[in-house]
Amino acid sequence: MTHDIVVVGGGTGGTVLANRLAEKLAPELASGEARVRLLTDDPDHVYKPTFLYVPFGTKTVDDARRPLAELVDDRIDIETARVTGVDTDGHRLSTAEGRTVRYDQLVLGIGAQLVPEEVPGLAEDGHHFYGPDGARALRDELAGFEEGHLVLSVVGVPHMCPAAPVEFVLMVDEWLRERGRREDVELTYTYPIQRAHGIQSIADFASEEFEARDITLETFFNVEALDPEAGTVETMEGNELDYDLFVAIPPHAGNDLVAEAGLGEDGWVAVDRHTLEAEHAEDVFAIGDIADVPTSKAGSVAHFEANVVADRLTSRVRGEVPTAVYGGKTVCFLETGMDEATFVEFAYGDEPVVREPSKPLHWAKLGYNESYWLTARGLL
Amino acid sequence: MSEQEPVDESEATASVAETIDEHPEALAESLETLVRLQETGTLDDLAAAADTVSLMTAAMDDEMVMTLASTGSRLGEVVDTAADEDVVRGLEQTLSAVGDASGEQPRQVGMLGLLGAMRDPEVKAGMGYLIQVAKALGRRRAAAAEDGQ
Repeated sequence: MTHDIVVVGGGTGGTVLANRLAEKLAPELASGEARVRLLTDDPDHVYKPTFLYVPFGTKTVDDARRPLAELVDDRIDIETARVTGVDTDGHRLSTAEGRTVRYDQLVLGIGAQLVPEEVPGLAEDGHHFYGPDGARALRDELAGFEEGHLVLSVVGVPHMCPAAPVEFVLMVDEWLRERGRREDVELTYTYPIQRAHGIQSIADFASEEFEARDITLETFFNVEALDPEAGTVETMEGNELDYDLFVAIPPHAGNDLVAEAGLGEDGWVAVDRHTLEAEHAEDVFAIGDIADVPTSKAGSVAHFEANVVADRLTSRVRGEVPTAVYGGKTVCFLETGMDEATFVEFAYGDEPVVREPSKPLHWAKLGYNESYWLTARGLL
Repeated sequence: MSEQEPVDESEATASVAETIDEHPEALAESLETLVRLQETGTLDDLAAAADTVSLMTAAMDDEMVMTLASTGSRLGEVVDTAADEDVVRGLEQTLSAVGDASGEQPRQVGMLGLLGAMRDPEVKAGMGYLIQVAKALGRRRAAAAEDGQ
């Protein structure tokens, strides 16, 4: 009997996992004992960190996209389908195209959703760099921004790419300086809790950098609404701030199908943080942003989780006891301007150290971005 | 990022003393490592390597880094495809066949010679393989065209 593994989602987690399974389960795939299917609603793979560079003109949105067929091993069946329901008792999925897909083992890597509409005025007047359209619009806006108040607000927590808000504000500071506009632009960074970032060491690092670069830091700043006509943002704390250009880290949400399937009340899949197996269903795993684990929603997390799940699935197919576990390993680069960067790496319970920024680390980040397609192919 | 400001000497001495006071063991271990590297001559090599890194940092720019990394990445993808077990076997056989053929002086073959050669079982097997390659190539090119690549 064929062991059916279905991976839903063609992002970093799903793509790396599919390629790892192609290698690990090579004998079983060749003999027909196992089959791996990758279900995705987008035939392309999108490398989202590219969008951070689009507003500054150093990357285009097309640089972020490659056809999945180029990246995924031939032994994996790629099927374009939008999964709309998960029946965990019946071990089957339903799709928007009216299909039913049976599985023995299911891996959800469906990512997080952006929900700017949850904050009045945000979709209308707020900019962001979390998708192609947003990044492109912000590039155009920034190109013509000569003077005024630029506010970067972290509206939603948790969000994808934890370093991105700090990166953006440090990059825009230097980008404006290079163009002789910085003196005419006031920069403000806001964060919802009492410090500049959820991770203490990044908060300390960012606070020092902001002070040195004349970037105003506003904490306990929970955005309630934007008034596009007045150009003001109001907070739940009762404060108001004027802006000329508002850049948001938009609110993120899980997925309704997760809640409907009983896999997690709030739309994120409740999983064991070490095995990544769903807590409320048998034979279901979750990786990447959709998995509710106590670490950042970063591409590196999806990558490392995919390796662990590939090991555990291989063991299951072979009737062995799975032993691979995820320890929370996370690696994040952090651009500190247009030509220097640093990075943090940590595991569950660790407090990362922010190293001295340098040009070689900036190049390491640029180099990694260019080589990312090797990661997606399961090589790097 | 920021320009380095001049440091008062007495302030600098006090700062060094404070660092020694705070991290005596780490500093002692670091110094031991430094002495070992110096005595073995490795320190000079590391200094030379650091100079090379400095030169590279001074000479390169973002564009060069991205171009190099992108080229390396594309080569990596070609190598990934080439490293597939079936591809390796096929390429090795093909390369060996090129080697075998190149060791002999080929005779000139016209239309009749070609037809005659087609009766040779080895040529028949080789042609079968070439047709199989052509078929697979056509299939992949059609799929790529369908995906708009």
